[in-house]
Amino acid sequence: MKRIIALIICALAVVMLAACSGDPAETSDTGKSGGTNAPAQTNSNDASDAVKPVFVYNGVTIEMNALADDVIAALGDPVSTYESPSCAFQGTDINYNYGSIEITVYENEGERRIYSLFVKDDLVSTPEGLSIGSPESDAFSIYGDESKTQSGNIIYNGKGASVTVTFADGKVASIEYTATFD
Amino acid sequence: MLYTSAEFIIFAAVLLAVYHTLPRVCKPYLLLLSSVIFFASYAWYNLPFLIFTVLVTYAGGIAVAKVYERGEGEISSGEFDRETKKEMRRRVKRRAKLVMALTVTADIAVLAVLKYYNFALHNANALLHFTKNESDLFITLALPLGISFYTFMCVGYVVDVFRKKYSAERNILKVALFAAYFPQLVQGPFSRYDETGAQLWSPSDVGADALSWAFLRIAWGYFKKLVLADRVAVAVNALAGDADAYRGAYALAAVVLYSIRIYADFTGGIDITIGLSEALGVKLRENFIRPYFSKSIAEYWRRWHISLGEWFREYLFYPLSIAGPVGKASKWVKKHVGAGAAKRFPVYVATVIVWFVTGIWHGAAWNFIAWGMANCVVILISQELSPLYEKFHAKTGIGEGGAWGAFMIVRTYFLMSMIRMFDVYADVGKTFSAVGSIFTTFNYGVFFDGSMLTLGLTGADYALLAVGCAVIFAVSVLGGKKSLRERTSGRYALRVSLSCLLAVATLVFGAYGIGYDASQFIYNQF
Amino acid sequence: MEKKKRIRTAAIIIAAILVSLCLLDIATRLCVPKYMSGALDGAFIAEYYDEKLPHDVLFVGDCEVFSNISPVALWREYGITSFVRGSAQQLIWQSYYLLEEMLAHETPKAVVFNVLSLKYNEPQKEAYNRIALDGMKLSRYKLAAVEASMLQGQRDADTGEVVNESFLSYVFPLLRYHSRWSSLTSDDVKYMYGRDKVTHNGYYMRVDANGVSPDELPAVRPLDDYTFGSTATEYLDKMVTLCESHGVELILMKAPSLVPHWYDEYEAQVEAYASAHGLRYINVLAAANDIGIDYETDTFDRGMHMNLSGAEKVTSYVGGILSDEFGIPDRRGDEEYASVWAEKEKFYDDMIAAQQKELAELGHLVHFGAVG
Repeated sequence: MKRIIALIICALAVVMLAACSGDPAETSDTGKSGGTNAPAQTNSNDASDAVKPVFVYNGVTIEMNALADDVIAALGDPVSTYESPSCAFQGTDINYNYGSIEITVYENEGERRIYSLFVKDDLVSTPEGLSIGSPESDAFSIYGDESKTQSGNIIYNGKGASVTVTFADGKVASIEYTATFD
Repeated sequence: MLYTSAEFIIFAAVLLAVYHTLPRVCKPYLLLLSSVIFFASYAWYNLPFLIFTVLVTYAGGIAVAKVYERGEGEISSGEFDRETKKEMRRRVKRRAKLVMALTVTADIAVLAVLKYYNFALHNANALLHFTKNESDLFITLALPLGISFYTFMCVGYVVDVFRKKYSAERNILKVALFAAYFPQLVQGPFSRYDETGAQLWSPSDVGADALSWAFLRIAWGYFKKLVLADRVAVAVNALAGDADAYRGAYALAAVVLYSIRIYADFTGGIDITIGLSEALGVKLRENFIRPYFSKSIAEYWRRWHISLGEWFREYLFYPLSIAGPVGKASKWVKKHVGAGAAKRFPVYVATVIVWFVTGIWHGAAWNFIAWGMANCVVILISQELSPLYEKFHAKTGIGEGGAWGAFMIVRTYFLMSMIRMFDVYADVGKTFSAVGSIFTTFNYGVFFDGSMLTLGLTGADYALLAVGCAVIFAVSVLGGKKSLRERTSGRYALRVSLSCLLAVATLVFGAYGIGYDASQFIYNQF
Repeated sequence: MEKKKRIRTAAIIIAAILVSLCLLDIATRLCVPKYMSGALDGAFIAEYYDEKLPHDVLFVGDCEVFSNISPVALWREYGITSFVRGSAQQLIWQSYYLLEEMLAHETPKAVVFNVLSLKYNEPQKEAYNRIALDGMKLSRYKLAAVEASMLQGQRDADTGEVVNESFLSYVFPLLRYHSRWSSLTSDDVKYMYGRDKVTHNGYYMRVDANGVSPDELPAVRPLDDYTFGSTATEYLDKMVTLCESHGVELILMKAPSLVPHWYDEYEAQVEAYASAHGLRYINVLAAANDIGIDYETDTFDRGMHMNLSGAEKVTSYVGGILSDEFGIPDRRGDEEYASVWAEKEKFYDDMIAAQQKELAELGHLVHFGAVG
């Protein structure tokens, strides 16, 4: 009898223990799986095989996450700049307007890096030949059908940057490069 | 569950609370269960490996015992003369040895495949070029927690049964608990079955003396690990990460800082292990006896990671030096080289093999092998030179105390710390180059021009390190003549107060959590 | 004798534990950031607990409430008592739990939620979580807010670093801030046991102007997907239910700002939601022209946040609707309220004077959270 009681107590203790330790184990698990899901990539093409999206403007090659100061200097005087301490960024974001393109620069750990590039008009095109007004099919032949989002636009996840292409009336309406963190 | 995670601290606290309210008969089951939970919290899918090793070890032990039993039965059943009996015993022993060897092979095989397969494959491929995509053939499994520890302990158990040190265990759960006892899974110490087997199954009562000491020990372990080891790790990583840039004085800094790190980390972890185990009523053996006070590398290895050294002595060095083939070979040496060489031969062979295995036990990589061999070379050389030393001492009258003793301690410390750099740089060439630069690159100004502050540690961090090291030094000196346990025996209030103090200091000064990055807050707007 | 000794031992042990707890409390008070100089945002949320009287209107949301709605101005013009509970990039679930916490203590007539944060469906940044949550008193609302907000393997919106926050460190902030021991300032000692008030019932005042003309703004960048995330909408639903269960009117609001751009697609979703749930939606952004907001003079950071002049215009407009459409009472006749609010008015006017003085002397603000 004593033995049986002891065993029951044992079993109870086991259940208690499992309940108590189950929780922390679970949190650490979700932490881990969250980590692997985390990259801010919205579609499935694999960044490891992807190319590095670049843009060339007036002979200057612009890469996302590159150190900004040399690029900005090479691009010459911007038409205008907009500087704001922003909601999403610490430090100051600066938007450089070059007429046909805009470049956003962010600051992290004392370094200024290029965060994004936005194509504003059809006077310029990407190295692959895409520009505002190009037919939708051109964009898909460049970035592949697998880059198509649910809304029918393109988000191409390249190395270190993604390219977002939106459409209106079957034509390219906007092209934007954004830095990503691999 | 890392020792330093909140999960582990909660786990341990709950375990202790439940454990001490349970009747004694239940305690081992709870220990076994929590060990399984602990093991599974790292990678539950590795449980089959642990279970396999336990099963094999248990069955092997029983099988060895059966061979002996049957043999004894046969011998005592008939009327045999002495010679026949002797011969029969020899046969029985051979059979037992075969069973033991098979068991050991099975145990080691799991370890070998999981830990050394990729390494072996990589090296074989480098030699033979049989595949272009060797990574396709790699096994990418997380190593089962503590596999290097529990495998060796299981091997020791089977060998001991074979050597009739104790009898084989009939209860498989006892073997399972011996192998999987969770405090030992992280970094040892190794135990022999006759040390912990019985304790684990009927743990002793934990009185105020043991409990207060256990808490103090745990707090001390956490202090060393979080305040010192994890803090200094930042600088060590910075230095090791760019060995080509950090030369000369920086390499010397790496040597010293790493010696602090590994000491604080390893002894701290063992303090937590032993303390926790003591709180559970299970006494584990000490793994360190103030190793940095050693006067030679050989002595160092009797005071650092003691249980590992003992395991190797008992289960590798000793059998190797009396092994048949080694004996034959030394006869050959005697004939062809000379008596002196022949006398040394078995010891040399065993020493080299032991250090090779010790090296590779630490990690499947060439830098660990180089580390083992470096230890081996130093030990053998000092062994050869020891007659010279004795003459020197006899002639000059300088003893091992006083200044000469201090010199020996400092020398051993630096020698050992430099050898250890194989582990830090993880590359044999880099290690030679960096350690060599200590003597060739004279940039010792960097100790005074603020360069050391660019390694991720601030002045305050260094000050804290200095204080921490001073405390460790003081504790070591205090515990030298008479152990601190004895010194504080019965003074529960003192122990608890010190534990509290250490806990507060660790919480405040520990290097844990998301580091507070002041700039993140100062510069952030809405 | 033996017994005496045992009692002594027990007493020392208890004392040691108590002393340790005290030390930890002191260490915690010392190490948590005070937000009393430099950026002040982290000090906003806790100021609610100093309130003596209940409020008729509660505002929740991000920077678009704390820099756009001035409760003192609302009091002066309409006699409406209110409080703004907002912090930097306060996510909707944080607003929700802050609201739930407030509704446990008081029942206002109306709650106004600013809709900008609907665009965030995930935690963005540990620092913002801290700013929003550290000021909350420990309660089940706080724990729920922490649970919903923690970055668990997500990337920091700025640095891209994968962040794993720990729940315990919100309950015991020492676990998060202990490493500040080596960079403590005099502020950390000075404000250990109490901080200065930096807001006016949650309103963050700035009198300086740093405007922007529309043609200087960056181009509007089309998004791939404008749909508000499911978590964000779910919390809006919860907010509706919460207000209903307390018999409180929920009002949606969009503050005027040029950056970040408020897309038409966002607007359409908010309008649809409001009409589907029978909620009043006050779009001050659309009304900005009519109420005389001039982005060249009414913002202090180039179109993002209203300065005092802009905020008082917004407040006047919103107050009119609150008073006319929702009949929020005028409490200026109530002596208890009047005396409490007179104090607030004085603090408000003093700060205006102080900021204007500094502005006149230096040409720009350096105190009052004007960093950079």
